[in-house]
Amino acid sequence: MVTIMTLNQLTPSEMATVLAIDLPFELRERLAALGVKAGRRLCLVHRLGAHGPLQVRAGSTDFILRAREAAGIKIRR
Amino acid sequence: MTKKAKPRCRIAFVGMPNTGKSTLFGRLTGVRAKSGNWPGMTVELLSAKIILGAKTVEMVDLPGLYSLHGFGEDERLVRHFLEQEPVSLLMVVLNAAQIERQLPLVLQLKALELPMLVVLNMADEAANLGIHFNTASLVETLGVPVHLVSARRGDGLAELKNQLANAVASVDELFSVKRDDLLIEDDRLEQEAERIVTAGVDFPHTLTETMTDRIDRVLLNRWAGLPIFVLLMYLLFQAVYGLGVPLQDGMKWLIDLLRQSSLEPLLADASPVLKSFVLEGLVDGVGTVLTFLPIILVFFVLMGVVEDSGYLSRIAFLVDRAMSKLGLDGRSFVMQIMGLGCNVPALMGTRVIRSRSQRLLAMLIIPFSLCSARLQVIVFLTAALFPPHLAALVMLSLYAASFLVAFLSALIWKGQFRSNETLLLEFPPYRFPTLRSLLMQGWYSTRQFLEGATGYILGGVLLIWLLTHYPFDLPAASSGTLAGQLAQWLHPVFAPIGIDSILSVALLFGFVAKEIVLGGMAVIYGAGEDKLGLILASRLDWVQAYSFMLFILIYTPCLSSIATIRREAKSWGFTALSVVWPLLLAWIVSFVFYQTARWLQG
Repeated sequence: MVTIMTLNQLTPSEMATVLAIDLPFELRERLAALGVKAGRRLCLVHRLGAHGPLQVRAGSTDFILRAREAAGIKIRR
Repeated sequence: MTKKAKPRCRIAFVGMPNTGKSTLFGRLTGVRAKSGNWPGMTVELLSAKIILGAKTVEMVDLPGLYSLHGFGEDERLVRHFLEQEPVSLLMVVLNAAQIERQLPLVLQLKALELPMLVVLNMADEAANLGIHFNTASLVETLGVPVHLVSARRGDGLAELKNQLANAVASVDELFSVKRDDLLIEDDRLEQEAERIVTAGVDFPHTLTETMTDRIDRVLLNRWAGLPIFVLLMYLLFQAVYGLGVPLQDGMKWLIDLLRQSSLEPLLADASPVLKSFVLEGLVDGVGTVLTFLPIILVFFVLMGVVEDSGYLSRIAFLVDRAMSKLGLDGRSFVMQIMGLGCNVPALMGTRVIRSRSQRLLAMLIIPFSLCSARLQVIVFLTAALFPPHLAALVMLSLYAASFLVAFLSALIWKGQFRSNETLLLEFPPYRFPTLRSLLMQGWYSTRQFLEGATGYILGGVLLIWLLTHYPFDLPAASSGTLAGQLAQWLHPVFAPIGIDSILSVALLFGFVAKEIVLGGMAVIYGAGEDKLGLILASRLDWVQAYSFMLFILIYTPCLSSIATIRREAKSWGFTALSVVWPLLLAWIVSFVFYQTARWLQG
């Protein structure tokens, strides 16, 4: 069974595939420019505490985002 | 309206943020823009003319953009440029290691059907990650020339220059872009990009743990990260003084030598007014400021290392949660750090913040960052009035005050500048400075200082000399002089905060540039660097001096900062707020400090 979860629920160094991005248009565009789109593989590299920001790797690009936005990225492990 | 002469040949540099575009631009043109390992460092169009082959070519560095179709300020700016300004060639700069996500931008640009050349920059970093390029395949599938270079290390630049010379030799016209072409559908481009990457680039199956990952494990540690940051900043300031103070002593020696061996003998028979003008106005005033040039130089070089290293993004990551409670995010904290050098680039750097209200809030607090100009006054007063074992503590307390006042202001004003800005920030790999980049940084900041500040300092210091010496028959800075009368007028405002009214004249000039304050004090007391310290120590006690330093730290941004705020915020109302609020706050903070300290003293 495939469990759908969100990016902020991933534990560090876990990989996941993006299923859908449920965020405002402008943010979706900016994520796409960083290589985050449905079907792409992501890795949660590091996070700062339970509510802190997340460091995410998409391909060879690393970026950071807040947990609130990460909750809008639906993934499958 | 007069028509500007169109250049015959123009090359525009385009690419995503943080691809080393400006570094490459600097390497090819010799014109150095401020660049750093942080997105959005290029905020102005920079252009330079160079000779390529038999032609004069204008090169333009455009701000980084993620997509030709985006809605950010930079993206609009680039689109506007391409619509309005015809070009002969687009030079598209990519980070080679991130080609798979940057290629869609190349294809968007290619759809404009302009002559184009693709540069895969940072080839050294891609090679370290085990990424290999089949250049022939990329050239064939993209249909444009492709070059692998490393602008930082200078690899492949000679070939690139040759190729550019060949390319422009055959181009005789300038091409414009039609507005419709700028908005082509993206999905088709995505698929094409994937095909090209699959055919022409070999990625390793798993990215090996890099040096960057290993460093991050320590620097981004949840508990150790912030203490390490504070320690690193402390070491940076230690290094500034360790290296800068001996150089400063050398500078003092040089200025004294000039004064004693040539100026004094030369002016022996000159009129007293001329003698006072040159020795007390020019040499004491400007000389005192110049002795700080070495410290500032070392400071800017070391800050440049921090900016280039990629550590700034990590700082943003570490402090983001705390900053979000102030209605800001990690990026505005980074701007506070950048502001320690000079507030102006930090104010411009807020362009990476997209929400207008959050950007304004960030701009409101940046001027509280203790910039290098104010640092001069504070270092000087601290050295003159506090015993050496307390000096470091006093400096530290003022840096702490700088951040506290900034955070306090954000807390007070965040209700007026509400936003729901998101944080989405690229994390570049760590990069170590090259000797060349250090030297360039040093040269660039010295030139900036000399070009930008000397005019203000010279003008301000000479005006203060006139105010304190006119009428010429009175003793300098006595109550009958212009400055003395001005001081009496200012007395009711400055007396409650313990500031000697004649010193308030120097503060007035600090409105223009904080560098003037120190030179102004030297002129007011008619003393050069060494004697000024003694005079100040005899006229002020430590409470007055500390109150004065707090006031200098907080009160009003300098004229360049105010002009920048006005230009960036495009609002007179906000500009007025950013002048009045610090003034008010400075007076209140100094008042509370001074009166409390006096009361405690009994």
